[in-house]
Amino acid sequence: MLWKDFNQGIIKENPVLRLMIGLCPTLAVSSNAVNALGMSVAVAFVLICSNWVIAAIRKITPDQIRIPIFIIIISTFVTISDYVMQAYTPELYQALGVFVPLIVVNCIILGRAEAFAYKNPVLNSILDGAGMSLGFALALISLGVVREILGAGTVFGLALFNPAVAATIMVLPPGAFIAIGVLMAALNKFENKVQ
Amino acid sequence: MINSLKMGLILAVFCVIAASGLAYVYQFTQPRIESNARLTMENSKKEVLPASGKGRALAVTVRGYGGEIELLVGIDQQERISGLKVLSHKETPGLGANIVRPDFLGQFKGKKRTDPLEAKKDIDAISGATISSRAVCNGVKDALERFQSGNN
Amino acid sequence: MELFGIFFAAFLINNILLIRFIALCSFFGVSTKIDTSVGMSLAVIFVMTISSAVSWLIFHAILVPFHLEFLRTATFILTIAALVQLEELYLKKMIPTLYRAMGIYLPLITTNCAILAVAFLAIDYRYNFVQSMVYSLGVSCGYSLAIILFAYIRERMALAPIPKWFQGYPIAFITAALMSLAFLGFTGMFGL
Repeated sequence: MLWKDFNQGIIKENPVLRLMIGLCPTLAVSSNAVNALGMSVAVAFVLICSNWVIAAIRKITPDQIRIPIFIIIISTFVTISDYVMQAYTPELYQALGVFVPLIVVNCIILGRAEAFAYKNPVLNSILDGAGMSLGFALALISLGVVREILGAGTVFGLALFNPAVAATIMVLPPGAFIAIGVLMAALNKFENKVQ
Repeated sequence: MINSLKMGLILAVFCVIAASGLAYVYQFTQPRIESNARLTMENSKKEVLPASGKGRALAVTVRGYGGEIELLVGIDQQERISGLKVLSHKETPGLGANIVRPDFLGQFKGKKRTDPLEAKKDIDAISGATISSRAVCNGVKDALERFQSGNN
Repeated sequence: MELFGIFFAAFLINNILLIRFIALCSFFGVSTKIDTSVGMSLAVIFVMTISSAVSWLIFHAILVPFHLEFLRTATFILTIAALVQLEELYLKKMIPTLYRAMGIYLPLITTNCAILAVAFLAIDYRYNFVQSMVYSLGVSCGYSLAIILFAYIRERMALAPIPKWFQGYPIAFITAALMSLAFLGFTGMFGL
């Protein structure tokens, strides 16, 4: 039962590729693998913590004002990760830019709060948050790796081949749309085969 | 009425807890954020100035292709460029963003105010990014002018 | 001229949907029909202009003087949520025609990240009040242009023979890639 809560966010209900939420940061910061990893960690922190707190206080939260309370909790954790990143990883913070404060409107987080954490015990909610974060990270990092290899000839900053033959378009905005479109089509084909 | 007052009160309690938590984190990280910014600036200055540390580092902002480019230009006492660093830019990744590469920035070393400092003349422009290259040239020229007028 | 530059850059060069990748959920979610995308665009233009004015005032008149910048994220999102509610009430009473045109899109807007992003970006860019108004107008016009064009393409696409694995969202993303490529061509125009 607990395992299921963790598991379903990874592929079956993958937030990005299946539920089509959390797209903005996925496309915007996936131009290289390091940024993708940093964003995944920030989202995982916010999602797990907010799921945990919301599940813990779900019994004392009045139904009518639950959304503003969720928003306050989420924005608190977002601001914490914002300042911690600024203090300890300033270069990453610069690269991610406005997308760090924008985690607050990332539909994954409010969505999980409303659909899962508000109705389930603490441990299940933490696992749900972890699974969803992993699914998000999986989509984000695979996009980041693919785009960085094709577009710049490097992976995590390590040179693979001469950047002169790389397809620069893959690290530009259109490349993000192409990469995720093809990734989704591939997932469709793969799943069809399994069935 | 009583009910909505109660709701407001609960909401206010949450706000106060959240705000005080944030204030704590802010106080805790703020000194580090400030020292980070100072440290990067000091390190960049060290990078662009000659080993003796004599000369001046000037920050200039120019308009590039995708937005503003912030440069730090080091000028030694003989009014020659001793080093050049891009502090921030919004140029196209893979093209204009190559202005940060040492083989491009290194070309400026030793240049003087009397040099043409023009892309495709004495500076090899980055292929496919003439506008970005030209912007860097202009920024360096600006810095040399400012250095000159500051000294007289 | 400077204001024109801000508008043009926000409208086309840094198009919020196709170049900056903000508010993509709504871009793919409501663009299946032209009507819905027009409704959403109207709501975005309306809410974005008002909320960026209010959040600019709150930031510079309350948060900065009291050194409360660290409450920025929380304040902005709550302000926007409250404003959307107020605007809904006002429109329902005063301009029912407009209210019907925007319909269900008004409440959805709270989670539209474009609104919050514009509030943040106007502060990051250190715009003054007039500049940030022009900026938010440019962004919301750019949003409308992109989403309405995209809806026209998607209505046509429903009739096109598309390879099986690409039906639905994958082909929508590929289409968006081509539009993004076209918008990329605006970069460098007017020396911006």
